[in-house]
Amino acid sequence: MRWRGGALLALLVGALSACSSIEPYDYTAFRANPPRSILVLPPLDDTMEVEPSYAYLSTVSHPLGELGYYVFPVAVVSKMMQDNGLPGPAEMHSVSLAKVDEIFGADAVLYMVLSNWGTSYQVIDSSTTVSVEARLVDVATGIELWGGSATGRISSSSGQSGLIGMLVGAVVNQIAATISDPSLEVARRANAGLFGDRHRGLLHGPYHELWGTGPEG
Amino acid sequence: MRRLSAIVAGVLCVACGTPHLYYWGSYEDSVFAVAAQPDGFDVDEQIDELETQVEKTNNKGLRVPPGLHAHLAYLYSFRGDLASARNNLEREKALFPESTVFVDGLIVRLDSLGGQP
Repeated sequence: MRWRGGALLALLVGALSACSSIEPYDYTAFRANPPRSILVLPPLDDTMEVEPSYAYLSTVSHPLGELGYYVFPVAVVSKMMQDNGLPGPAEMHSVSLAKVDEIFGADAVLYMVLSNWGTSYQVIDSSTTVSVEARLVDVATGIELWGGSATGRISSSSGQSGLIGMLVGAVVNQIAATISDPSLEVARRANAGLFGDRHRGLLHGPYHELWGTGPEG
Repeated sequence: MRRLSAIVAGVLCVACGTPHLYYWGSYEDSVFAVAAQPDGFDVDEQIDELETQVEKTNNKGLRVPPGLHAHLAYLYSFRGDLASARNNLEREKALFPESTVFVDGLIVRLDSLGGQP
């Protein structure tokens, strides 16, 4: 059991590192303007639907907070913007940095774009994926401090054995694959690949003991 | 499904041994409820759950994550309890001074609604 878990983890790590280029990120701009606080806006989604955006938004505070940043309360921020004439993510992304500084006092804004969020079904297998692209922008200067992209994926066939098991697995997932646990889980995996990449991830923030160190800790 | 992923997450956490900075509990579930299901959340249930969580967090000497008190403040203002909203905004600011500009702006708005103590 332990061995199988190790093998699975190795596969996962392999898959994640395959997604990113080996060349380390150039953190010069980041180090010159290290942010303490991040305003996360609801991501743009290629389906132009609103629900996936807010669902994804609900998974981002945890990884950024644990990296050591102050993360503005994402639901409150989006509600407040809606109440002030910005009905959706596209309008929120167009708010000027001067306005962000005035209203929130944030050091940096995280802009994200989602694509291909959904579940694809085959006869004996289905997989749920989401891809995310992110840019962290310095509010004071407009400079991009950091950026990256990642894909999260969960396949339904893992853990099933035999044809009957596979068929049952496919049916169960087809029912369950609304925006709920499995979809939010692929979002969390995408975040792990995006922020946690060893060579290109986001550096630690001021509430973390590794603040000021390199991408590998 | 939820229980299985919790177990898997637990095993992974033990494996990597990284201590968490904060106790997140159901904060992100509440964010999902409020942001992604605008007409479908029970404000009293959200408040009760997060208040219980905050008490447990503080009793165990853990830390409340960034944004949670401001989120609670929003829920209280939604219910019309402006004094509790203000109190939670003050707690957000005390824990995380990075929130000062934002929180002070919200307090001005609350006071204009009649939430001044």
